[in-house]
Order: sequence, then C-alpha cells, then structure tokens
Amino acid sequence: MTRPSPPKGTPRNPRDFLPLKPDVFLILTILADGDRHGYGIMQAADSWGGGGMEIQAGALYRRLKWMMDEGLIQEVSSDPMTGPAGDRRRTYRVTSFGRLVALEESRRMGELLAAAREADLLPGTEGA
Amino acid sequence: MAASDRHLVLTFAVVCYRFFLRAFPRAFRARLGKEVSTAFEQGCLRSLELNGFSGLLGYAGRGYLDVVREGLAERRATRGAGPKRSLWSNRAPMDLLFLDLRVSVRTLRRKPVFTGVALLILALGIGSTTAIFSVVNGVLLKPFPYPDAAKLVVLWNTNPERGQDEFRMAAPDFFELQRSTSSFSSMALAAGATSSLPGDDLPPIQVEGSLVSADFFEVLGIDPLMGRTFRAEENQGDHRVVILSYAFWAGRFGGDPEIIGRRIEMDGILVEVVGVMPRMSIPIGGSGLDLPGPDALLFWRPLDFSLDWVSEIGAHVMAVIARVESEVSIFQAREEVTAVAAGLVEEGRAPAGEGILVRSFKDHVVGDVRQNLLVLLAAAGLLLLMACGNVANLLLARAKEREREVSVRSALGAGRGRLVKQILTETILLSVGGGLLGLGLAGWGSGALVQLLPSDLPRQSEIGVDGAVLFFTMATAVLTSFLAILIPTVRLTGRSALRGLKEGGRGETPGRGRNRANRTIVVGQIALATVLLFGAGLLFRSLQSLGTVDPGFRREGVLTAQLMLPDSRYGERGEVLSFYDQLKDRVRGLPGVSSVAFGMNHPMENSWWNGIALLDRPDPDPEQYPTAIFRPVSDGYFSTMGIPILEGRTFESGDRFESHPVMVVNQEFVDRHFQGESPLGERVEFVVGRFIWGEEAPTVFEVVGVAGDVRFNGLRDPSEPAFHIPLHQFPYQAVKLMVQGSGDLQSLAGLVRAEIWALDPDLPVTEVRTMDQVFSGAVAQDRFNVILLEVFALTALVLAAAGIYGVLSYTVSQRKAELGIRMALGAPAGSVLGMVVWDALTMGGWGFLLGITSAMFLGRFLRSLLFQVPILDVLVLAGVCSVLAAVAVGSGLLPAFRAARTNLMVALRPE
Repeated sequence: MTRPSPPKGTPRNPRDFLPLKPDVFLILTILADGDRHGYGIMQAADSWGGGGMEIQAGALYRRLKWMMDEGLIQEVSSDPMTGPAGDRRRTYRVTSFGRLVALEESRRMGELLAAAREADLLPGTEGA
Repeated sequence: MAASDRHLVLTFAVVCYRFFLRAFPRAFRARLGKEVSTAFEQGCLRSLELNGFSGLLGYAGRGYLDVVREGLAERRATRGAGPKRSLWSNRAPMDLLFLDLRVSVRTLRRKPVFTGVALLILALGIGSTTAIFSVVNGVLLKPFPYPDAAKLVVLWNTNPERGQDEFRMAAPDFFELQRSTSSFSSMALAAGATSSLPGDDLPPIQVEGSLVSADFFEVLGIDPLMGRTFRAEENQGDHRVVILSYAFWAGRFGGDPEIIGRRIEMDGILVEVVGVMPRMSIPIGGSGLDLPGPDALLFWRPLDFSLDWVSEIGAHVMAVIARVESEVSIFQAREEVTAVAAGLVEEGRAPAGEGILVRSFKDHVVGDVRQNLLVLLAAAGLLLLMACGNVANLLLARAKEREREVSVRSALGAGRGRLVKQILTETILLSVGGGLLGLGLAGWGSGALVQLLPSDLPRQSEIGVDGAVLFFTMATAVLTSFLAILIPTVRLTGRSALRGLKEGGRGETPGRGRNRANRTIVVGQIALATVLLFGAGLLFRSLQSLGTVDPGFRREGVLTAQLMLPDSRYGERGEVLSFYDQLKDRVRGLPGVSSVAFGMNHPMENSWWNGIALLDRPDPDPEQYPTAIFRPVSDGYFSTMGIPILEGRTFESGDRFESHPVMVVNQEFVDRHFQGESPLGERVEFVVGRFIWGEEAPTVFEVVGVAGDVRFNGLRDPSEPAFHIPLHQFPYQAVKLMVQGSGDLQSLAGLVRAEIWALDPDLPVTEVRTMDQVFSGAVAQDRFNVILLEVFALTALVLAAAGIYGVLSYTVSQRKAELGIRMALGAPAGSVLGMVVWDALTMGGWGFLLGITSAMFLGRFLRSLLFQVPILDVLVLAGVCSVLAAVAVGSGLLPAFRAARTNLMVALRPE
C-alpha cells in the first residue's frame, strides 16, 4: 500500500502491480462487469463463486481509495439511488489502465493454473 | 425480533462502528467515512435479515476488527505524507485523542498497583460474563444450520387430563395429519433405532440412528454430501439401504471416497450405503427427537410403513418433524392441527383429552434450558456490575488524589470537556485492556465450562468464541467504562477550581459526607452480592432437597450396561432367552455379585406408554382406554434394584413364555386405574407382544403383584403408572443388564464385559455405568447451576469485602488526626475499634436490606429452577445474613485495628 505513485505523465507498466492482492483483483473483476457502488461490490463479492468472499467495509474502501490513487478505477457520477440515510452514493468504474492490470493478473494466474494442471493438482481435468 | 428492537440494535451497532472508524486518518474519513459506515449499515441489515440477531452480532464483530485494523494500517501508510504540523497549531480532535491516549498510558504505568487491580477486576467481571454469554450464544442464539430453520416444527401428542405433557405420536395419526392439513409444506416421521456393527479389527460398536420416512431430509432442507437421500418407495417393504453421518463415514470407514454403493454389515445383515450427510448436527428419532452434535456416529434407514408396529394405532413411538408453509405462521398451523386432533377424538381413534402440540424445533431443542442459562447470564451480569462498582471506587480514590492536579489544570484554563475526555480515555483504555484479558479468560473459561456442563445440554458443539461473542465483549467493555466513570467524572469536574485547591491543602478533616459516593457504591455492591448469595443459597437448598427425594430404587452397588442382540443371530425368541439365561448364570458366578437382572430399561430411564384394557372392570368410555408405562423385566429385577413388593409376589424363574402370563403393576397404577383397590387377580390386556412374536405371544396378563413407585422421569417429576411383564413373556432384544455387587464396581464391569464377550465376541456393550452415576446425571443440571452460582457469589463476596475494606481504610487514613485526638482525650481503643466495625456493619446492613428486597422481586425468575424450596426460605435468609455480617466485620477489622492503634503524635506529624 505504500507504493509511491509515479509523477504524472510517466508511462506505467501494468506488470509493476503484480501480483495483485486477491481482494483488489476481485474488485477489479467485479467492476469489469459493470459500474457499482461500494455496497454493490460487497454484495457481488459475497455471492461470488466458491462460497463467496466477505469483504468488510473498512477494507473495501481502503482498497478503493488506493485503486483510485493508482488510477486503476475512477469515480463516476453519483448513483441516482440513495443510501439508507438519504445520501447519494459514489459509483466506481474500472479505468482502461485498471483493465490492463487485471488482464495481466489473469494471464499470470492462467499460467499458474496451467502449471497446477500439469502437476495433476486439478482433479477432474486432463493434464495439458 | 420486533422492528423497534431491530432498529435499536442496528443503531447501536452503527454508532459503535462510527466510533471505531476514528482509527482511520482524518483525511480519509472526510473523503469516504460516510460511505464506509453506510456500507457497514447495509451489511448489518442484510446479515440481520439472513441470519437473525446472532448473524448481525457476528457481522458487526468482524466489522469492528476490520475497521480498526485497516484504519491503523492506513494511518501507518500515510504517516509523513502530509505537511508537518506545528506542536502549537490548532490540534485536530484525532491528534488530541492520541495525545490523551499517550498521557493515559503514561499515567496508568506510573500507578502499576492501581492499574493491575483495576485490570484484574475488570477481566474477572467481563470474562465471566463473556464465558456465560458464549454458552448462551452457542446454545440459544446461533441459528440452526438448516435453511429457514424458523419454519421447522415438531409435533407431539399431549393429554393434560392424564398428566401427560408431551409424548410421541402414532404413525396412523401422522398419516391423517398429512392428508388433512395444508399448513405444512412437508412433514416426516422418525423413530429411534440402534444398530450394532461387528468388530473385524475394531471393537464391536453400537450406533444410534433413526428409521425415517423418505422426506425426512427434505423437511430439514439438507442435501447429502455424497450419494442420495431416500426414495418414497423405500418406505414400503424391507429395503436394505442406509445413510451415514459424516463422523460415522470418516471415523469408521476412514472417509472412503468409494463408500456409496458399498455394503456394510449392520445387525448381522448387509445394507447398502446410499448417502453420506455433511458434517452438521442432524436430528435422530431417539427418545423423542434428539439432536446429537456434528461428531456423533449416526445412521438413518428408511422406515417400513408396512410393518405391524408402525401401523398400530396405539403405538406412540414416532417423532414428527414438519416444515410450515412459508406464508403460514406457526400459530395458524397449530390451529389447524388442533382441529384435526379433535376430529380424531370424535371418531374414537384417539382417547378423550388427547391433543396434538406444535412446538418450534428450536423451542423443542433448547426450550428446557433457556430459563436456566438466562438466570446464569443474569448472575454473571450482576457480577460485572459489582466489578464496575469496584473500579468506580478505585477511580474515585484516584480522583481524590488528583483533585489538586485537576483543579490546577482547570485554573490554568483546561476546559471541563478536555478533563472529562482525559479521564474517559483512561477508563476506556482500562476497559479495553480488561476486556481483552477477559476475552482470554472467557476463552479458557468457556472451555472449562463445557467440561462442567451437564452432558444432556443441547448444542454443546456450538459453544465457543466467535464474532458475536467478540461484539458482546467489546460492547460490555464500553458499557463498563461508562458505568464505572459516571460518578468519578461528575465528582471531579463538577467542582470549582478554588474549592479543589482549598481542599487539597492542609488542615481539613473530612467528614463522613465526603466519601458518601464511595459508601453508596459499596452499599450497592453488598446489595448485589446479597442477590447472588441468596440465589446460590436457594439453588443449593433445592439441590439438597432433590438429594433427599427417594427415587424408589437402590442407588449404591448396582452396575448397568446396555446390550443389543442383533436380529441376524437372535431372530428367534429361544435364542434371545437362552442368551439371557446363560449370561445371568455366568455373571451370578462372578465374585462379589449377589444378584443379576435384565430389563428393557433401568429404573431411571424413560420408556414408552402403551394402551391397555382392564378386562375385569366395567368398560370405561370406549374412547377412554387407559395407558401406562410399559416395562418388561426379568425375574430378580425388583430385588436387584431394591424396589419393594408391596402386595402379592414378584416374578420368578418359572414365569416363562409358555406359562401363565403375569404382570406386576406399581402403586401409582393401582391408584390411577384400580382406584386404590387390590388389583391381584385382575386381568389386563396388552397386545403389542403379538406384533413382534406372532400369535402365540401372550396378550392377557394376570396381576400378581404390586411394586413400589419409581421416579422414571427424573427426580422432579412424580411417579407415573407403570406395569411390568416378565422378560420371558416379552423377549425384547435391547436390554439393560443390572448387576448388584459389592466391592469395586469398575473392576466388576471388566469381568462382566469379559463374560458377555465369552458368549458372543461380536456383541457391543455400551453405557456401562453405576446407578450412582445415572442418579448423578439426573441432577447434573442442578449441580451445574449451584457450582456456577456459588463461584459467582464467592467472587461477589470478595469484591464486596474489598469494597468495604477500601472505603474504611480510606476513611481511617483521612480521620487519623480526629481519631488521634479522641484517643488522646481518653477514648478507649475498644470504642474506636467498635466505631469502625459498626461503620462496616451499617454499610453491610443497608446493602443486605436493599439486596434482599431486590432478591424477593427477582426470586420469581428462579422459581422454575427450584425444587420444594420456598422463595422465602428462612434458612437461606439467615445464612445470607450471617455470611454478610461476617464479611462486613472481617473486612472492617483490619482498618479498625489500625484506627485503634492511632498515635496522636504520629497522626498529627504530617500536618
């Protein structure tokens, strides 16, 4: 989290961000599917395959802030829906750079998975 | 939970969250704080809807941990990022909080004794409350692992006219309910069963299980981990299939992944495993509808509806579990079922007065222990209040020491708010420290509690420290600090600086009024200790009177064991009876054994009720056929168990299957069904034997004896009417062996086991216990209450004594000068001593009065736990009064002696 962000205008390599923390990757994946507000991301994570993954509000917004600072996501106009207290909620969208980072991470994980399959660690699948 | 309660709990959870959110840096909170707490609130709301109150507690507990952890991490990450602020610039509130924290830590470290004692007291109070809460949470609050478990109900027969609260149902009534009700989306039958597995390389074991109708698992909403559940056609005819519990599969079959389709030997026949259930608590038929823990070895087999004993109208051996339709309330279901039950009585298919009860599944499992656990939680809460009192007293004493400092600070311009905040921070720090220590204590304590818990307490496997317990501890710690700080804060900050400076100086002798606050707290503590002592005393007396109840049988020197002869090797009654006869002869030959007997149950074990007909009596109402508890026993049963024969004879070895059928009834049976007249020679019809052993089984029995009453259902319940028939005339295969012997029963048990295995090496021998152990088990819950409440009361006494001691020591040290002058003027040492002790007694007296008044009011919550003890028990009152007086005098003596030794010169020197 303490990674300093480069000065504006410096071209950045998406690979510098790898490996991504699992929850950051999950948030990117969820947002790649469409814009969502914070609680929407929590809900999507909760019903995510493999029994769901509980992301608590504190951890979520800390990641969101970092991802915004790093340019992986951006805030779009406030959600027309209102929260329980009547306040407007921010909606988040993945940036093209964020998409690139997610893509690189997916590729990395795909390679890992292929290696696992090779070693017969994935029952029910044929060795590649 | 009512909507208003939900709102209250939710608001409290969010307010606490906003407090913890302050762990994040200010900039973060300004940008995203509102959204974070909104998202948390929505998460709470969802958890509440999905998993109820305990779901919310768990979610909130995890949320608090998360927000503090992430906040601190964010703080570390951003440290040094912003511009440096000057020390004297306007400080942000958060920085002030950290300043307060630093100052508090320093202050607390400078007073290690004060800090240590306060932490210890808080840890004790919070720890004991948390430990009990972890039990309450596991047993009462956690949801069952079944989907929509609130819709699950259990159905029982009831007949209040005959004093039968609830008993199992008969299958024909179940089918009638299934046909004619619409309130239930599904319903299922379960009968208890046990099965023995032969020993190949492992010892032979007996496994509990259940015969169920096909939709049993559908009602619960459980899918198998592997394989399938039962099919409807498997309820017709002898289908040899079985479903295993997870622990059975993992423990006995090594978690064999190929188990489905494998044939295993149960009771000497091969049955095919068709399913394995996931690792969770799943009910079985048992003695009603039992809920063993997730690690129990269990099996389920399909119930064969075509068997005679299943379709018998009077055979009340079935537990019924059902799921209420989603849009129907349990109340509506109850109404519909009541109407069906009335119809059954009207048609003459059920005796008059018989009804059907609908109880929620949760109520069925934990209803009996709810009151008990809540009383214990309340007692722990009282202890926590006492701990608050002690800490408040400590803080007061500290406050007095600091009055001068505070006055100087406020004279220099520190606002009242800042001062309060400083003290508050100190107390919160203490409480959080005490809370953490208490949590450790509770983790250890709940482990110890589980060891101590009565073995029949349901859902023990659920007890432990989880998110809900964490939330509870944190909330308790926060609440404790607020309570403890109330009086010291008001006292410290409500005074003018001038007065503080004046009082802090020399020359003042404080009067009694000055430490009125301390005294009030101590009186309150004594009152709380009185309540706890009083409760402990009543429960102790109740346990005592339970101990004096005559169970009607011999407790000492009797060994019992459960045997179950499998059908495959003991299908013929001749094989069963010859096994019993041989075993009896062998065991009787063992050294120290004086008599041996068999019975379907031992005396302190519930068994089934059955309908009977009194042939020599005028027919009652045709629907009013009498019922009684049915107990087949061998000859020698009454003498082995020490049950007296009041009239006629007992069973003899000549009472065989083919000889004249005879019966021994108990006194309650005579009173209930023969209006107290001698029943000897009367004929009683009982037909169940015919369903099991065919036409030649006897059905009409002659009463030849009357036996004394026995408390079958535990010591609290009165005797029930019962009839015994010779085991030879009802050769049941699952029996208890009862051996009366002298000397060491444990080594006798080994010898008995060896004799059984000499006859049949594959026969499991289970539940080997002495009757004394069985008897102790019957009062285990009462004993648990007493032990726990006594520990609480003792701790409360220590806390109260510490309170009295602290206040008097302080008073004596403050009045040193006055006492010195008194003695210099000729007051005898005895009168000074008496004065201080009297002071202690006065506080004790007020506390006692206040406590006993509250105890009278609270006593009614205890009433259901008491046995033959009035709330106003004179012995208990006198006991509590004398213990308190002794504690008051005892804790006053030390300061009193110190006062009596006061020397005028020494007393005046520091001035």
